[in-house]
Order: sequence, then C-alpha cells, then structure tokens
Amino acid sequence: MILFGRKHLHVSESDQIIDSLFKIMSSVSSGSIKLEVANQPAMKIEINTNDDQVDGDDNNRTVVRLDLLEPTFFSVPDDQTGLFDKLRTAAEFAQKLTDNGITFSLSRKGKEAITLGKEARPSLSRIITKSNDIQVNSIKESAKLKDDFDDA
Amino acid sequence: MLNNNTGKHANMGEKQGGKTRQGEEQKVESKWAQIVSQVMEKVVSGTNMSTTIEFDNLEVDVPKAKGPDGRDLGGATWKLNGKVVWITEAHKDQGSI
Repeated sequence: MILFGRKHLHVSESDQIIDSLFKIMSSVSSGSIKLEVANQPAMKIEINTNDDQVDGDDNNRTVVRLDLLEPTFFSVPDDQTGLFDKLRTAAEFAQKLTDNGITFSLSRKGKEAITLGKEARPSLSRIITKSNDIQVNSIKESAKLKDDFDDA
Repeated sequence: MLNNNTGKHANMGEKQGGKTRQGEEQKVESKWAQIVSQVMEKVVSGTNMSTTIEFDNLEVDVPKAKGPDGRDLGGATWKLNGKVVWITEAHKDQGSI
C-alpha cells in the first residue's frame, strides 16, 4: 500500500519490520514488559488476548497497551515527518492491525493518547486521518508525544 | 536528457519509472529501519548506562511446526518471568595519546 512520490512514511506490503512486529504481537497472548533506562522507567507494554465472541466474530482479540513513561528517550530528531504524516502512516498501520484483530493503544506517561486498530472508535479524528481504525483519545497528549519525539 | 514522445522512449521512461518506484520503496523501508535502529541503538549501546527489561508473566504461543522429515514438532506456550539487565561502560584506551 505505497503511495509513490510522497515523502511520508508508508506501510509497505513487504515491510519486514512491520511483518515481524505483527508476528510478535500475534504470538504473545498476555503479560507485560517493562523497560528501564538508567534506573528510570522508560516504557511499559501490556498485552491481553480474549477469545470472546463479539458480533459473531470468533477471532482472538489482542490488545497491546504501550505506555511511554519517558517519551523523550524515543525521540528521533532526524525524522522530519510531521504530525499529519505520522497520523496518515498510523492509518495504514491501523488498517493492518484491524485486519489482524489487534488493538494498539499508545499512552504518554499513563495518559491514553491514540488507539489504533480493531477497537478504535474514531469521531472527529476520522476527518484528519480518513480512517475508521484510528482514534485520537487526546489531542493534547498526541501533540505532546509529537513534541517529545522531535526533541533533540 | 531530453524527453522524446516516441513509443521507444515512452517504454524507457516506464522502465525508468519502475526503477524510481523501486528506489522510493527501498528509501521508505530504509527510513523505517533507520528510525527503529536509532531507537534500538539508544537502548542497546548507550555508554555508561544500565538498561533493564523485565518480563512479567509474558505468554508466548509458539506455533506448530514441521520438522525436516515432515515430523510434527507440535506447538508450545512459553512463559517468561524475570529481568535482563545490561550495563555499558566506557573506558579510556591506554594506548591512545
């Protein structure tokens, strides 16, 4: 799903990093991972899977909650893509998540910022992303995250 | 290079366009890889830094697989608990001036 001639990031059908990420997310059914750097919590990932049948859909539903406790640690100053580009990329990524029955929730310091994938219920954010698979839970936290990632 | 609208040149342009697309695709993928590697580099190779990864009841479903002779190797569920800690230290090279 590449739109050529555009400079923002896209999720390619043959993107090995994304494919590996989906394989990992699909194979982990529950549990959590915490990352500490210099004795400071930097990131927490919680994964839950339920087998409940919802709307006749009996596929497993995996929820991955990623909480960036120290978001500036993950800054990539060389990345020059803006918030809209990131959201468009997220829309492509979110479509793949929905297709695989995965929900990905991104939080900043414990506050939910963005939900992608199966359980995303977008309202106004649909206007920006043109996607049914991406929900901006908090514009404030999303903007803060963008600033954190851009920090040198 | 001048662009000439003959069929031959149009084909060449198409071929060149194909190459350009491949190039762009590679650039996009390398950019993903670049971003991931930058973050990984910070986590793995930061100097004078300790990094801890703690696994808490992490259940990994290992899918069924077939052996080289077609034998069914079965699947498994791995449960991970515990911490992995690594510390990096920078030392002065005594041989340097």
